[in-house]
Order: sequence, then C-alpha cells, then structure tokens
Amino acid sequence: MNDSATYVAIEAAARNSYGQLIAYLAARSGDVAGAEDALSDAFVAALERWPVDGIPEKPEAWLLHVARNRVIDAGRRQQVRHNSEEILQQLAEQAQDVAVSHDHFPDERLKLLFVCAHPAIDPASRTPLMLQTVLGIDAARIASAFLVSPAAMSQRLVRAKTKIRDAAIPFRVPDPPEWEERVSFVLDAIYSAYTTGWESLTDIGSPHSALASDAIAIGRTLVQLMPSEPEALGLLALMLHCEARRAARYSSSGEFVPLDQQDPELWSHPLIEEAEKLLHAAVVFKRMGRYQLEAAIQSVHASRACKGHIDWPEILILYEGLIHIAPGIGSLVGKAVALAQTGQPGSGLAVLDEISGNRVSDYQPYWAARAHLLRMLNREDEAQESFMRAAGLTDDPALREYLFRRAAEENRQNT
Amino acid sequence: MGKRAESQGAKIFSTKCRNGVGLRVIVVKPEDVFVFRRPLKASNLSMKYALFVQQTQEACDRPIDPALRAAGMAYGEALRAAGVIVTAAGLQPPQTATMVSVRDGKRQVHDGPYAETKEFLGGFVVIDVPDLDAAIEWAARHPAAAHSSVEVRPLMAYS
Repeated sequence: MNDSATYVAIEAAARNSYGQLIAYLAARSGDVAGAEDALSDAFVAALERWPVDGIPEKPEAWLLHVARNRVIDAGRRQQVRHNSEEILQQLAEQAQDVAVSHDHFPDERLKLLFVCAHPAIDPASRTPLMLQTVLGIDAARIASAFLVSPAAMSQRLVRAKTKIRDAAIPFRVPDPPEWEERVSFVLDAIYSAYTTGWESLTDIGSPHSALASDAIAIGRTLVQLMPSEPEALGLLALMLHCEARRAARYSSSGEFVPLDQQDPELWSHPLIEEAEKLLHAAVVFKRMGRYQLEAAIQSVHASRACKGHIDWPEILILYEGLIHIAPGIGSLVGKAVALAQTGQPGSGLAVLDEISGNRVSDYQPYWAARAHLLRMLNREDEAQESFMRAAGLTDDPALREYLFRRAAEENRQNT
Repeated sequence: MGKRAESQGAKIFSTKCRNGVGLRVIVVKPEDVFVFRRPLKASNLSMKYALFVQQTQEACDRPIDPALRAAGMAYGEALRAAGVIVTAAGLQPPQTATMVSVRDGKRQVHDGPYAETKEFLGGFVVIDVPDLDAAIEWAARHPAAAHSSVEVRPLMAYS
C-alpha cells in the first residue's frame, strides 16, 4: 500500500462523509468540538495505519470506530457525571453496530444543521458553524470569505461550540409548531453563505466564489434530508438560477452586465433546468414561501432565454406576494423596479419613497433602482446623484464602473 | 464499598434525582469535582438552568393585579406538577438592595446598586430539564416573558 493511495482514500472519506461523521458523533455526545477533535485523531490514525494495514473495506466505519473510542476515552478521563458511564456504553455499542453492520450509519446531519442555526446561537456564527461542521471547511478559509481575521473567526466558532455543549442545545429535529421558523433559520444561514459568495464573483477561485458552491452543496444536502420541505427546494432552485448566470455576469473584458442585458447563451442551461424541476416539485406542496417566490422571480428572468422578453407583469405579481410574506427592503426595491418596467415609474418611485431613510442609507440596490426610475421620469440631476451614491456603496469594481457609466449617460430615451 | 472509595481519596455524595424521587449515591474523586462537562446524550439526563426575570423599573412599580398574580400562581403550579422546579424566588425592588464588598480587609457597605440600569433582576427560577429547548419552553411560559425578558443560564454542574 503506498502513501498516495492512502491520501486519496482519506481525502475521499473526508470529502464525502465529514459532515455525517461529525453529526453522528456530536448528536450522541452533544459536543461538536469534542467530535471534531475525535475525528481529526481518527484521520491521523488512518494516516498511520492504512499504509500498513491497507485501506479498510468501510473507511467511514473504521474512522467512526476510532473516533468514538476517542470520545469515550475523553469522557472517561473527565468522569463526566453519574449517568455518563451508561451513555458511553451505549455509544460504544452503537458504534460497534455501525462497524459490523453493512448498513450505513444514520445520517444525523439534519439535527446538526438545526443545532448550527438554533435561535440560541448568535446569527453571525450560524453560517460559519454550518460551513465548518457540515462541510469541514477550516476556520481560516471561512474567515477570509467573511472578511474577518482568522483569530476572530476561530473565537466566534469556539464560543458557539462551547455554548452548544454547555447550554445543552439538543440535537433534534424540531416539531411542527416550531418547524417552520426553525427551518427558516437553517435556510437563511445557507442563503447568507450563498450571497456572501455571490457578491464578488469577479475573482474566480477566490474564497468568495468557493463559498457560493459550498452553499449550494449544503442546499443539496438539505433537499436530500428534507425532500418534502418546499422552501428547501425553493432555496436550492434560487441558488441554482443565480449560479447559472455566473459566466454571463461580466463581459470578456470584465465589465459588469446587468441581468436584463446578459446573453442567455452564456447561461448554464443544465443548472436552469435543475432549478426549474426543483421549483415545480416545490409548488406541488402548496405552501408558498419566501424562497419559492424569489426562485420564481429568477425563473421568470430565466425564461427570457426562450421567450425573448421579460414578463414584468408576472414579476410584479411575484414581488407583491413576496412583500406579503417577507416585507424586506429587497422586495420593496424589486417591486418598484417591476412597476417602472410595466410603465409605472411614478408609482415605483412612490414605493421607494415610502421606505424609511435609515434602512436605505447603505443599501446599494435601492440607490441603483432609484437612479434608474428617476432617469425614466426625466429627473436627470437626481438620477445622476443616485447613481453616484450607488457607486459609492458597492465593493465590486466592475459594478462601480458600470454605475459610473450609467451616471454619465444622458437620458437618451426621452430626449 | 463507600469506605474503600473514601480511603482512596474519593468523596461520596448523595443527590436527589430529578423530580425528587429516589436517592442516588455517587462517588466523586476530588480531582473530578470541578469538571463541568455535561454528560453525553441529552435525552436521559438532567441539566439545571436558572431563568432570570429581567424587569424594568416601570414593570416593578406597577401594582400586581389579580390576573398577574393568578398567572404567576398557575405557572408555579405547572412547574411543580411537571416536577422540574428546583427553587424559585421573587425579589424586592432594587431600592431595597445593599451592596457589600471587602477591600483590603475593610468592609464597605453601600446603599443599592449605583448603576442606573434600565433592567434589573426581578426574580429567578431554577429548573431541572433535559436540554436548552426544554428550558426555553419554560422561560417562554413565564408570565413575565410577555412584557419583560427572561434570561436562560445553565448552572455549573458541581456535583
């Protein structure tokens, strides 16, 4: 057995099963950090043993066996509490069952996701915690994607894991009365990873764009774990629709291309098809939600590829539904633009005017939309001012360039 | 067995089990006393949480109306009936408080907390439940949760 084959096998186990192994161990010990330590010990043991003994038939079961021994040893050393012995015994038996049985060990990742997005966990820690425990991404990479120092990110993650253990946050799937809200926390944490990864795609291979694919990976896992939750399907559909446009967002010379001017030929049609299938599967459940509506809006944009035009009245209806369910600033701005595109720029501007000042002060899409509407209304000076304000609020150089260009343009439409 | 354990430097503690039913004798070695790890597997164990009721001065000054009193009584009864209550107390307003500290061997006694805080501790309940979700359930049921907020803090496990 040579070393490179071992590395390949270990890497494959880590890639395919890391989250499942952590979830299995943590769901039984209530201790995420302890599960991570035990699993990394098991990987080290694999590096030592596999080149000598050969790669085990079931690498995951082997790793689990070693890891649970570490958990039990750690538990014994600490002599936890009076009933711990019994529980350790239970864990040992369960792990033994897994090692000998031909079945795969139970997938506890859903419980782990609910723990990561538990309302008792700081919202800013939920997404990083998910990325680390479910996908095994290291703290330094997560830190660079979230623009914080690795030390600060590690501290945030350690604090969250300590809270899970010491406050005894249970590893369980919530019941119906709580279900909807708890699911939305999980979905929001995944979507937050996606949007963080989406905002800057100019630099392919950056930690940002990797984060977008990580979010999609978790989204796929979630759909696999809860196939009949329409919002989980909706979220994955939304992310895939956005992802499908990756190649069309910037021109070959790096210029920003707005959605309605993107070349549909450059969109990924397999991703769009997958997104459409998911969305169709979701609406069958007849439980409309925020992510299904957002995916539906993207679906209308995607249908420009075959229809040749954007069905703005349809988008307007969807935004109105979205405002009803999730009255966020994003949906109000979307509605304003849809109104303008259906020939009612004045009403669109009125919607924007109703949003309170402190909510818009640093929200770039608001100013870009406002500028667009003002120009349609021939209020050129104000339009230019708004374009400049939007340009000042983006961190994407290509988008900034685009907004500067728009600001400099005269209103050709009406002059 | 107990004698032998003690001769090896271990101490024997007897603790009441959850719901106060039955006694269980456990052996704790001195070096283990300050380990605060919670036991494994959440479902069959007990965690103690303090629920601290944070009240505003305004809420405290308001006379207790019969409805509020009845709600408090019902809550206390529900805690007892479920067998989760360890202890509970309501506190007199902060104007009745006295601060005591010892510096350089000298005792200092002052009137009340000086900080003009918006919220202060109005009372607390200690409960024994399996996990945080169960503790949050009880915190939400506290009548004061409807107007003040309730802080849920796990207790350190000394024994």
